[in-house]
This record gives sequence, structure tokens and C-alpha cells, in this order.
Amino acid sequence: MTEKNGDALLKIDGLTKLFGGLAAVQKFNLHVLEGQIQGLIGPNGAGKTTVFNLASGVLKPTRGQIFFGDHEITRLAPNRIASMGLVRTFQANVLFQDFTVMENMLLGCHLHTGFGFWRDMLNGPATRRKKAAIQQKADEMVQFVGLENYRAETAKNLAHGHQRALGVGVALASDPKLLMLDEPVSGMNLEEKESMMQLISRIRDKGITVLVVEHDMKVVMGLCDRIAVLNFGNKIAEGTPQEIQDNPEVIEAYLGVEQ
Amino acid sequence: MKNKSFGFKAALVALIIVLCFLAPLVVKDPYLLHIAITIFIWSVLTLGIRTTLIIGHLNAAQASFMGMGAYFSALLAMKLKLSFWICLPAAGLGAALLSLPLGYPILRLKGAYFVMITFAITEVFRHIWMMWKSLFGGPQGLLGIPRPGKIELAGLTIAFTSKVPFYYLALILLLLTLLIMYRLDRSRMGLTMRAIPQTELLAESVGVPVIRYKVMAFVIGSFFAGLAGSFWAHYFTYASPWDFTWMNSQYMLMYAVIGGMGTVLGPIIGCVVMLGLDELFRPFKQYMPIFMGAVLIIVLLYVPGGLIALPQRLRATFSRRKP
Repeated sequence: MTEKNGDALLKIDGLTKLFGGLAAVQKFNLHVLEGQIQGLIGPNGAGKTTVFNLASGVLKPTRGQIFFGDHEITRLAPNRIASMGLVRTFQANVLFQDFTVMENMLLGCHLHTGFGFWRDMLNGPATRRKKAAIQQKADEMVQFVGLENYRAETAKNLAHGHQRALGVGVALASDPKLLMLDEPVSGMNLEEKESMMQLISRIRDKGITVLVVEHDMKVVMGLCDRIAVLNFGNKIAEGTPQEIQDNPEVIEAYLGVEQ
Repeated sequence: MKNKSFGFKAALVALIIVLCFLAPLVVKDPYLLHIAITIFIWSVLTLGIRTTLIIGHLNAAQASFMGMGAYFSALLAMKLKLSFWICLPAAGLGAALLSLPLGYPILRLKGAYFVMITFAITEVFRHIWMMWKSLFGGPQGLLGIPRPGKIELAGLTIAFTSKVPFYYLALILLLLTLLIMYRLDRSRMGLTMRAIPQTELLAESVGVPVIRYKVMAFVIGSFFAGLAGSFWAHYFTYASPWDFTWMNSQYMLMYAVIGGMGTVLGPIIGCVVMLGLDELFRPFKQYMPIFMGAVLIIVLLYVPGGLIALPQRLRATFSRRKP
């Protein structure tokens, strides 16, 4: 593991989200350091996914600020945030289900398209060259996530583990600086978990920072450089996997405490 | 295998296009030519409405944008004495420009709400035409819209006094629409548009400005509605609020779905078959809506891909029956 103690790529500052009177997330702070795999854990309903939705622009926060690099992204639209290099995956199998694996990847490459309506329609030689380059990039990404035998397969016909890998690939195809993974191994068998963990490590080795929300402790402990723990919308602990495992508050949140 | 069937299809389409160009040499009956013109123009409209279907919206206002194109073109010709050849593209652009500011707010609505708001737009437009008598002529509409002026082409003078030149103009408009829609389908933009109704969430999260793509599809559809409207006005030489109703948009949607919206040929097949049947059973005109409804239900239940997918569907059924 290369411990690169870079600057904070994502800074979440005093983030609060109220749903009616309920605080899903309260005064939450988090610094995700460049080049690391940052874990975010907590029991069901702790507010992990809400943090994700706030950071990616799907939800707007009630209070607080989010910075990505030097830019504030607190109230930007999801596609603007994505174009700055912060891209997420989804919990369920959110894919272009009727498209092939290759077409899904091509959509993932959307941000590199870089030609407008008329060039696209006229399809001149320069545009065709660009399209071929995008095709090439999408194909590389198909290989990177290990789906090279399924290029022409429709997404909805893929096995669960392959669908999740494709979901990660689509996000990755947009060349993010920070990739946010929402429960990447949920519903997977051991073998699938193993290959997903390897995939996430390889993503970090490419120099992409990763923020991962996950339930599976074995995966989180084995993968993350740093972990933050949420409970009832509040951060109750933060540190290395070892520190988290020994933290009494975390143990209490997960297992309850003997009276 | 796939290439072979594509080559066959392309050859078939080319043959049909050639036959369409030659048809007026044999067919002199103005009634039949009129039916062909109607089918061509409705195909343009239905191809236009297909772009909003692709992004997942049922557009009930296509006929209204056709109407706006018709009135705009008629007024340019009558008040400003502009030539039809300027009015025609101007009507397309006018309808497109009108749909642009409307598209941004309304395309944020989904499902039934979008249908309702486009229906509301239809009614608003219709009332504007009805009430603003000095400009739009009220319920009786605009009369005496000039026909297209003579054009000189390679020493040949074409005057729009019979059905034949209108036939060719409508055919050329349709082929132009078909070409552009085909290019759109195969472009990156077409791929992105087809992706949007599958999951907007994922599309946005990989950086697709979903609303801009939706507006683009809506504006393209409205542009062709405007073109068709202009043709319609100068062909019939009148335009009235009753020609551009909500019901007409419903028919366009139906033809698109019955023909199949998977490819650009689907909506045309839908128009040929349904408008053809409409003419064939003209004596039973009052029962046509029942019949159309029945066809729609049968197609939706048994051939979800529309008539264009019928051969493929039959082949699949028969090969399954074989032991």
C-alpha cells in the first residue's frame, strides 16, 4: 500500500441535511485525502447514502459546504459535479439496462465526447477519428473491469457481479479524480467480492481517489486507508482500520452495549 | 449475416424511393396523389414526435407546433408578401424557437404530468388562434394563403397549380427528414438520447446534461412540425384552429407506436398502414377510432416493437414452433 499523504481532495464542512424535522446528516465533516481509499461506514439508516447524494449533487444540503479541490460544489447540478471529476456509482444495479456493455461504456465516456451537434451529425473525418478514439477508450475500460467477454451482451442479462463491475466501469470511463462507490459488494458472493476488492485496489493504483460506503466489515477493513463512522447522522469516529476496530463507541453502535 | 440483411433493407428502401419518384408518371388521379401527400406530411410529423418519444416523453403538442408553423408561414406570406421558399424554413425555425423556452420548464415534468402540460399548451395555442381574430382569423382561420410561387429549375418551370409538384415537394421534405433522423439515430447524440429514459440518474452522474438533451430532442421534433405546418397551410391555402388539435397529436403518437419507434422507418410504416386503412374504410369513417384503438391494443400486446418488428417477431414464433 502506498500511503500518499496528499492534500484533501474532497472537503465536507458542517454538512447538515434535514428531511422534514429529521436530521439525516448533522454537522458532518470529512476530508478525503488524495490517492487514498476512504471508507464511510455505519449501521443502516446512519446517513451514509445521504452523504453520497449530497456530495454528488442529487440532493441539496440544508446547511454546510462541500469543496472539491479548490472549488465549492455545494449546490451544483450532478452533471456539473461529474464534469469536474467527482463521479459516483449507485447502490442498486443502475445501468443503461437495454444497452450492451460497450454502449454503456460509451455513455460513460460522455465527458470526452467534445464535439457539438453539427459535427456529430455531419460526421466528418476529424469527428470520426474522435469517435474511434472514444471507442478505443471504452474498450480499454471494458477490459479494465474484466468484461471483455461480454462486450455485446445486454446489461440486464449480465450476472449480478458483472453488472456491478460494469457500473464501476461506466463511472470510471468518465476519468474521475474521485470515485465514490456506494456499497460496491452488496449482494455478492465471496468470489465476486474478491474480484471487486481487487478492482477497487487497481483503481486506487491508477491514482484515483476512492470514497467507499460499505456494510461488509471485512471488505472495508481490508481495503480502506482511512475510515469514518456515521451513526444517526453524526460522525462518531475516524481513523485507520485498526483504530476503528478498537474504538468502543463504534463497537457500541454496531453491537449495542450490555446493560 | 447482419450486413447482408442491412444491404437487403437498404436496397428495398432505395427501390421504394425510386418508385415513389416515378409514381406520378403513372398515377394521375389527384385523389390518390392527395392521399400520398397526406401520408408523406404525416410521416414528417410522426418522425418528429418520435424524437420526444425516444427521450421518454409523450408529446401531446406536436400538432400545435405544426399549427404555429402553419400560421407563422401564412402570415409571413400574406402580410409581408414573402416567398413560400423563405416561409417554409422560417416556419420550421419559428416552431423550433418557440419550443426552446417552453421546453426547459416542461421537460422537467415526467409521465402523465408532461402529457397534461403539453395538452394544456395545445389548448392555450388553440385559444390564441381563436381569440386573436385580427391576426389569426378566429375560428374560421386564415383563408387565401398563397400557393408556392413558380420555380425555374434547369430550364423547367414548375408551377404549383396541380397535385404533382406538391407531391414531389412533400416527398423531398420526407426524405430530408428521414435522412436527418437517420443520421441523428446513428450519432453520439442519438445514443445519449436513447440512454436517458433508461436511467436519468446514471446519465447525469456521468456528466450528461439531461435537460439540455431533452430540449434538443423536443426542439428538433418541433422544427419538423413547423415545416409540415407550413407545407400544410400553403397546400390547402387555409389554416384554422380545427386542423391542429390535440387529437391529431394523439394520432401521431399512435402511428409512431404502431409502426414501431425502434428505427426511423417505423413511424413511416405506421403512417402508410394506418392512413391507408383510414382511406380504404372511408365509408365507415365514424367507426375508425374504434378500429384504431383495437389495432393499437393488439400491437402493444403482441408486437411491442411495432409493425416494423413484425417479420422478426413472426420468424421467432415460427422457429420456436419447429421441433
